[in-house]
Amino acid sequence: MKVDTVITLENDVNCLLLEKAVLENNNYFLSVVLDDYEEPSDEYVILKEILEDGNNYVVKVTDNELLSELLNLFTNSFKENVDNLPNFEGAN
Amino acid sequence: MDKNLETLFVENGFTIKNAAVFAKEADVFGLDNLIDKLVDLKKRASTNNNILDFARPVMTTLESINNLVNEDEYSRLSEQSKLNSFYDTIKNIQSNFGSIDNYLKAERDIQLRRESMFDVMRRLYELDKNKSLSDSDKTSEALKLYSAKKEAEDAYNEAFEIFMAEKKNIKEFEVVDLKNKLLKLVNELQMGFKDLALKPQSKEEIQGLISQLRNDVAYYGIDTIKAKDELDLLCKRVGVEYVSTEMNLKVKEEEKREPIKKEEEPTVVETKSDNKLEGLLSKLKELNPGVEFALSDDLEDRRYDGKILSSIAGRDLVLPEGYYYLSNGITNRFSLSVEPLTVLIGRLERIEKQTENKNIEKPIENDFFATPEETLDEIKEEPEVMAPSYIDSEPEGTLENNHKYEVKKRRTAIIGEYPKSLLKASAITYIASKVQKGKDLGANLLTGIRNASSNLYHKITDGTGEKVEEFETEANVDKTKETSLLASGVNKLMDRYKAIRSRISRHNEPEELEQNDDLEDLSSAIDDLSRGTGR
Repeated sequence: MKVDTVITLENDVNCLLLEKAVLENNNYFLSVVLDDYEEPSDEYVILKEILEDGNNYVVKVTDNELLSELLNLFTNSFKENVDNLPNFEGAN
Repeated sequence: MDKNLETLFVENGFTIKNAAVFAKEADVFGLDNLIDKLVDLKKRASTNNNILDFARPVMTTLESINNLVNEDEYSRLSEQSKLNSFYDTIKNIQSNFGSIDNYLKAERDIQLRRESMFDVMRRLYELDKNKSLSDSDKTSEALKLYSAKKEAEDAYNEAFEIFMAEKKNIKEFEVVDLKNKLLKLVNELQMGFKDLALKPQSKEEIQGLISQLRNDVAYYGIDTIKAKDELDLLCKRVGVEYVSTEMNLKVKEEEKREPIKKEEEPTVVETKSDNKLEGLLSKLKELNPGVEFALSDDLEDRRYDGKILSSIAGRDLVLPEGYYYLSNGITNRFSLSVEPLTVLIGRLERIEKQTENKNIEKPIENDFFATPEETLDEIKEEPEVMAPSYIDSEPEGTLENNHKYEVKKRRTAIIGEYPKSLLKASAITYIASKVQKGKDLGANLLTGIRNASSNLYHKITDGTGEKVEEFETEANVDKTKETSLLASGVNKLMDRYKAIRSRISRHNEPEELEQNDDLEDLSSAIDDLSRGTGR
């Protein structure tokens, strides 16, 4: 799995993968759940990637300790990402 | 009603379905304004991602950038490796279009062939209406036109095969993938040009061109889909439907000659004869033994006359003579038939599933990440993101805790850098606010989140006059409140972003592309055919 991908799960829920972090050899993805119209909803999750028998699975991370560590990683990467954003031509 | 207005209305394919509603809404909008708005939206919605109109300005812009660097004497002072890398990036972008050049030609060719085919059919149809010809002349003309029809069909089939072959030559030519690739390359170009030694004036010009390039890539397709959604809503509101311009004109012509017969004359949109559908259904059953079929009432797309459900994919069906595949259905409108029929083919099992789950599957291009027209800086469709709720109860959400979900499918999404950053900010603040309730997040983490979000806020709003209170005030010492504030602030920032982008898009209205009025949804049907196996 990689960032900027929409994954469709077995329950037909779609998630957009926004950012990836690696912790203890596991891949975690900061994601937003998409609604029925494939628009981002107000539900955000961190998904852990699991590879089994050649298939991809994900499980929602719920442990607060782990979430806290992952938030640190995602925040650092987010900070760097914002620093490198090109100029925003928003002003008329 | 002014004759010109009526002509404009009809020629653009609009018909009034609910006169009372229309009259009321015309009072509200003003009749002229309403028709202008409908016509404008229809034109914008009909552009259908004409890749040719997309490719041309992009190539022109690249050439201009190339020339500016070449002609700037300072550029020779740049590090050679950086200069080479810059030129390579330009070539990379150009090569993406080079690879679709033949495809574009094949696409244009198939359009021309299709027009010729349709032209012959129209002439055959008109031949019957021509009462001035003698029997022998009519016979001779009919035979000539029949030969012409066969030739046109053969030419179309040949063009279609070439088109499909060209399509295969392009590695997974999908607009979404192309745009993704192009956006990355434009970003590289942006970073690369900053490493070059250039005169300030050249830098300014090149920056402007790169921004224009980014916008062209980003906007490609956005307006079409947005316009279509707006058009659908407006039509629903004012009691109007829009149909194929060509069919509408045909009806109008008949009206002039034989007003009474016009009512009997079926059109693609107005006629939904169960008999025709049932007739087609029974033929399909005959040709496809072992396949289950069912008629469906669930039809919203006005391009189709009906919907048939099949237990196998539409393109795997054996079709009755005269029928061709579209991407989502079948049609016989290329054949000389007094009863053209275009039918949507749905999957029997999928429809049942949708009935249960109320899950509408849409191609990703139509959405937040959508096609034509997504950029680094903006996304095609900014989503309506609702404020995350931090109050008390924390429902499990769509995904169950501790449940392992298999990933069934993966699709590339195309999303601009700013929208992605906004979503990341939203995700981080949302999750942080949930975690904070159960576990104390360190002050460092919260400061990091605030700083990064605030930085994003300033990048977006500085110079625009937009303000978000949460980012203009000091951090709250209460960490629970602080995380909530940040989440709320990011949410408002998203709204500000949408408002700013909306101002920009109104300011930089894309050129009106030519509407292809020749055939019903020609471009989209070509697109359909390119995915189907048509004949």
